Amino acid sequence: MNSKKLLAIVMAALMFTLALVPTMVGATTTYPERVIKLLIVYEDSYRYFAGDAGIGDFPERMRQMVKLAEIPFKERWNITFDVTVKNYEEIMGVPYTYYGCDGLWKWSQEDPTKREWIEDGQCSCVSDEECFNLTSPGHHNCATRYLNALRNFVQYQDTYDAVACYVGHSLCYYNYREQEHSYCAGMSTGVSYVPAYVAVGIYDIVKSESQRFSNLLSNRGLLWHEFSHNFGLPDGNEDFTDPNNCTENFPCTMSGGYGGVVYAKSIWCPNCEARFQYQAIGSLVGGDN
Amino acid sequence: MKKFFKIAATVVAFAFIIAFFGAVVFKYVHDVSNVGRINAQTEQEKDKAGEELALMEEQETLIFYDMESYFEYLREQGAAEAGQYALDEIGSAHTNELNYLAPVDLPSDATLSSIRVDGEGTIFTYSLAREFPTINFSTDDDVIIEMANSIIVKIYSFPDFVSDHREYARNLAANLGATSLTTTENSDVYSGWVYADVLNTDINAMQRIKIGSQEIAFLPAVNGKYNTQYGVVKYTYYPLSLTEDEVENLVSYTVEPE
Repeated sequence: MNSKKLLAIVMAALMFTLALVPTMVGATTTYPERVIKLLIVYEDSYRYFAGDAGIGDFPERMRQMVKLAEIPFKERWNITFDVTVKNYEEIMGVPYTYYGCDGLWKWSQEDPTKREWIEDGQCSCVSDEECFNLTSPGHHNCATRYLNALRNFVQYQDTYDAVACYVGHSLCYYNYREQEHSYCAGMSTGVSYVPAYVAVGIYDIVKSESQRFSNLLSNRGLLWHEFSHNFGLPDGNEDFTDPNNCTENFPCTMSGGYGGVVYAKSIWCPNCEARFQYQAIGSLVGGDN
Repeated sequence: MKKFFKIAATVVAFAFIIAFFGAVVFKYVHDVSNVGRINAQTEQEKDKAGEELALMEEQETLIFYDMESYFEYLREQGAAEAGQYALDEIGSAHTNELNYLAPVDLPSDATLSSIRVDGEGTIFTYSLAREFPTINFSTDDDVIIEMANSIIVKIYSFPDFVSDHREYARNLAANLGATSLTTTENSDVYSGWVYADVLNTDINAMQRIKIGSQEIAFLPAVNGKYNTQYGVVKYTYYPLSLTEDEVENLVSYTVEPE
């Protein structure tokens, strides 16, 4: 082998190596495809208010909402949703709200088999202090009671990885930190072993038909936020010395910034991306081994 | 000398080849262990996870269905005088603090769906009544049709803990998949396409189409506060059915000075 040939080989090896180095050094971790079997249930109060907003085909509308919500999960984590949408009553039984509560609904005078839900209604069957006392019946619209029902359901079946419930009435809870009764747009089990969340699907009681798209984006935002809790993400707060907080000057679904945004590839700040427990829910396509 | 060169060249060639294979093996091991680490981390964190429930606090949201109601609300909030100015006039022509912005010069077939005011800002949603140009197949997808006929403009409002609005806009654009369109000393504009998966009922299969674009803009603050930290962050979603002129017109704003 003469020196020219050898030089050519060396140069070829060098160029080949240099061509591959950037892909080796700069590549980010590729996540294997993960599918979450997600059950979404909605009950009578949702149907009542959403019907006023011109939404007739609830299951299809919910599927569309999940399809939009899936985009950043798919783009960032390669997570997709296999969604099933059902009536709450069909799959979970009778919700606690149905047991007589004058503050939330009344029977329709025109059709005594139908409930008429009260806009901004609130149960006052027990005192606010009793709302989170689990030995007490509590408020009929108490979020934790919905959540407990969802958790029990997910725990004792094998068909779904996670369950979400959309209601049309308000959700209350007792805030132990502030020692006061309060209201929430959604509540999640966090990253405990049974992923579930409950959310006010007709948030702000948006009943105008012209608001259909906005309402869909709002429901999608609730899924983003509450479901991210199920992957281990905490709420954002104002204290950037808190290591559990979001990244400063960064929009994040845990602290806000994506309301009204139509399309996003990622909805998490770098701190939340680092905390995101990719395998908390669902299973890998082809098995988890 | 010739022999020495041969030996040196051979050594270098082998070094590159070994380095290359070493890097490939390292990358493979790193990736495998990374996935393993994710699995292990999840199991551990699942076990130690508490039962504490995570809440999304209900924030106060106001919804208006016409501009008059919105302006009435602004007046009640203390906006002494409502004036209409173009966005590029802000700062040079007016000394009042910028309080609110609202789009003007909308397409003639645009009707206001709602104005939503919450802790994140003000969102103006408009509906259009027109054929969408790029859907040339049959679909009964309601949401896609609504996306294709909506204009959304959001003016962000920031709590004090957002310390750099310009950086916030840059980060928002990155997460939305938007890239820099223009940048000046005092402003940045980012733009990116919006895609949607549509059920093509002609072939009964999902089809990904480009349905619009979204723009994120950081614009100078008013009242001479030209700096890189504080300013207006504006998000706009344009469906593809808008013409270039209509998009151009949408950059004009009503300013509600305090």
